Amino acid sequence: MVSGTRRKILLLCRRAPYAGYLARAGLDAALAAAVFEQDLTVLFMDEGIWQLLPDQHSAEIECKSIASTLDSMPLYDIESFYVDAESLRLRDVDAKTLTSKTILLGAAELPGFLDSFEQLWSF
Amino acid sequence: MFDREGFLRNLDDWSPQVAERIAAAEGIELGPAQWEVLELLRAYYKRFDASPAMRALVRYAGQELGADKGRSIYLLSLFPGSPAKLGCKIAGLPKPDNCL
Repeated sequence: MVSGTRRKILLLCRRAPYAGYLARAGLDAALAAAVFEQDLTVLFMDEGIWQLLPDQHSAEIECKSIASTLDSMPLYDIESFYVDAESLRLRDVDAKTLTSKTILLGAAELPGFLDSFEQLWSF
Repeated sequence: MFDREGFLRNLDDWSPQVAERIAAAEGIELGPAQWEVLELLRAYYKRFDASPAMRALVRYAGQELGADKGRSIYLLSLFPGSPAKLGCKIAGLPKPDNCL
């Protein structure tokens, strides 16, 4: 693919929501990029798909809610999230249970999708 | 009670009287229009667990208060300089991240 046709940044969220600071750091990076009006797309895969589940009740572990941050993303013009379908299948998670508006990516589409971005930010 | 930049350390310490005090220190008089935005900021914080950056505040104001209020120029007229930051300060919320 010619670089001129590539989208700018893909944020790859691969960590479980509260198993360390990386899930939060990834979303903070997304919001910072949005403030600077960068063109950013978000893809959840591997353990990162757990970030999209409802009823996180993170106050019980005194953490800010990942789900609430995702809810605020449309206000930063991050309108939809891509999700790796295989990651959902391996964890037996139904796409219908996810909180936000998501677009499923099949295994065959994934390499081309990843290749369509200039930069990959992996968290 | 306040941090070095004048933001409340503890969210529970906030009250409308405290808001009036912070606003006075910033040279801002709180009328109904200012209060409407302060309530909006507190609702945003409750819903999204964060203080909004300017971009999100403008969008949220448009969504919740109507298109004529979802404009930077309107918010700047109420809270000159940096509406998200100043509004959050008076509303007793943490300083927004990515605040320029």
